[in-house]
Amino acid sequence: MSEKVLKSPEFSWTARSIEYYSTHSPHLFVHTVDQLAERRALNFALDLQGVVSRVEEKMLASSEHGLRASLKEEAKRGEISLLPFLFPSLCFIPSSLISFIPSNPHLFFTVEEGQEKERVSLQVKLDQQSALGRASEESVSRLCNLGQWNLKELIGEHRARGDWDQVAGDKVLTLSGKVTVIMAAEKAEMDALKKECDGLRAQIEAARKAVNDTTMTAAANGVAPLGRVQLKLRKSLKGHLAKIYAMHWSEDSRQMVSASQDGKLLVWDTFTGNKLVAVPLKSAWVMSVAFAPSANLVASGGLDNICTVYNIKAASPKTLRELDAHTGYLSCCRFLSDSEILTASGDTTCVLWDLETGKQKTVYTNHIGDCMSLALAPDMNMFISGACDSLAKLWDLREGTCKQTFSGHTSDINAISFFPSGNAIITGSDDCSCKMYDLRSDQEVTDYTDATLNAGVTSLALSNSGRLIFAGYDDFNCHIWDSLKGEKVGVLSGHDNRVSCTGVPADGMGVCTGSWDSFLKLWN
Amino acid sequence: MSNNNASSSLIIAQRAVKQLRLEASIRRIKVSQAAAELKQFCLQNASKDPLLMGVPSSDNPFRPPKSCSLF
Repeated sequence: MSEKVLKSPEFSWTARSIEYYSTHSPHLFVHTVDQLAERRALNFALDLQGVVSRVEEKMLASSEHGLRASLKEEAKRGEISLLPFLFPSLCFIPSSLISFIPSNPHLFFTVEEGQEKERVSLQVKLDQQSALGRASEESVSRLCNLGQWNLKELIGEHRARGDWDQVAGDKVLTLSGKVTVIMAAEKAEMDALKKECDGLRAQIEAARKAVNDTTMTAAANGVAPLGRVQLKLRKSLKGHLAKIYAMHWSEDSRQMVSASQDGKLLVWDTFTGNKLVAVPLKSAWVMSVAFAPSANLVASGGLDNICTVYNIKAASPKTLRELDAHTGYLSCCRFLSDSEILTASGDTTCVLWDLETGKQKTVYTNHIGDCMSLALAPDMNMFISGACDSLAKLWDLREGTCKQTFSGHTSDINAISFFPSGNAIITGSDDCSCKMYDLRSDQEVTDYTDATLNAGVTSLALSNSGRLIFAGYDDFNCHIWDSLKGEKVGVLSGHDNRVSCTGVPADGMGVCTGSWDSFLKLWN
Repeated sequence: MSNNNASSSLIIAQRAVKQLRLEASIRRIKVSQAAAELKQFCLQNASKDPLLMGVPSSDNPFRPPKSCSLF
């Protein structure tokens, strides 16, 4: 092992930047270019704590320029000795500074095997904390015997110390420290897995392309256009005192429940406009509401992370269950029956709950962004979820697995719904578009975009034949799309603030829009 | 950077591969066939779609009942 002593005239260096400066332990990072044959570029941390005081004085000025100047001065006077950890069969090239903590500075070096047959590359973490010591013979010799060592055994920390030396009256810093070998075989495995991922993604794209022989709009060329769809406002339901965030129809197509951040759920008789039940909420930050198919129960949840189920058939609304296990806000909930409910959460999971025990039956994990919306398939065996990772996913309800993933949106998906046949899904996103994905061809078949629409989609609902899509937007309107031809065919205008929720009842007789203006409107 | 971080990234990568294998293995039908069936569903159910056909005022559950005013 040879110690290279490089005099400043033989190499040039420039201080890069001060990563951290404290009066107790000033540090500088110096990038040097070795002008010797190997032309190695080294990044190393100079601990100047022990250096001549005049450098320390200069450092208090803490300007990069000042420091550079001061170091250059120092270099003229002294030498910087580098101990490059030359092992008989290894040489190393430091890659870059990854992290620096003043009390425990680290550098990352990539060590590549030299003449040996196995060209293994290791990442070596160098701890500069003991830069003031001399490389201990024991540690250096251990590393020198690398050829005889199983590389895996190298993983861990090895102490090596350097020292300031006096060579001919000049101060010499010997680079040294703790050598931590990390990432041996794991790096290779990670690379292989990444390669497989890329390959599979390409395979999926190719398979989708192979069946992409037309678009929905092209296929609908022969379908007669709808002309202008004009629905009239039939009722304005007043009662909430703050923004309405969610609404859901009962299966009887007459009752409807709405949730507002005034801290109340209101159950309405939409035929008369009367309020039937008022449910006071523990937490006013509600984001979702659902009506059970039996109409006996309603559920709500929001920023409290809890899905609370209420019995509204009791004399006064009674809390039946508090489903508390999500670690993020509750964005959507839907009953399967009086004994099961599905929830979507900002913690990126969806959960199927058993209402009799109050426990989680299945947790659906795969999204990497907040889940914002979910919808049950007509056959109740699957459900779909839309999330802030801009993906829509199809799940097998009983198996708990994600079957298909649909991409294409460029921002959060806020709303999702099944096409009534169950073979396609519609999504609405903050990217101002809605999309239709067909489940059996596993891809986007229509994009509902309009150049004049620059508002995000908050909610959507379909008419009974699936031909009309009612999409609520941030522009205070609910726009109507022809699902087959991809054209805008109408608009429901009347709200004075963002349309936050939209719903079509089971009998398809109308559409309800709810808004931040605190009103619900019924149209047909 | 500790070995623990490397292990959990490894597990995440392994799960991602498993999921992609699952998604890659499904059978896909041609978009033309899928679109034709969606189109057919819409057209076949159009007559049963009140929002498309219009709701006659006599049957409109949301329309406020007409009342007679006597002056």
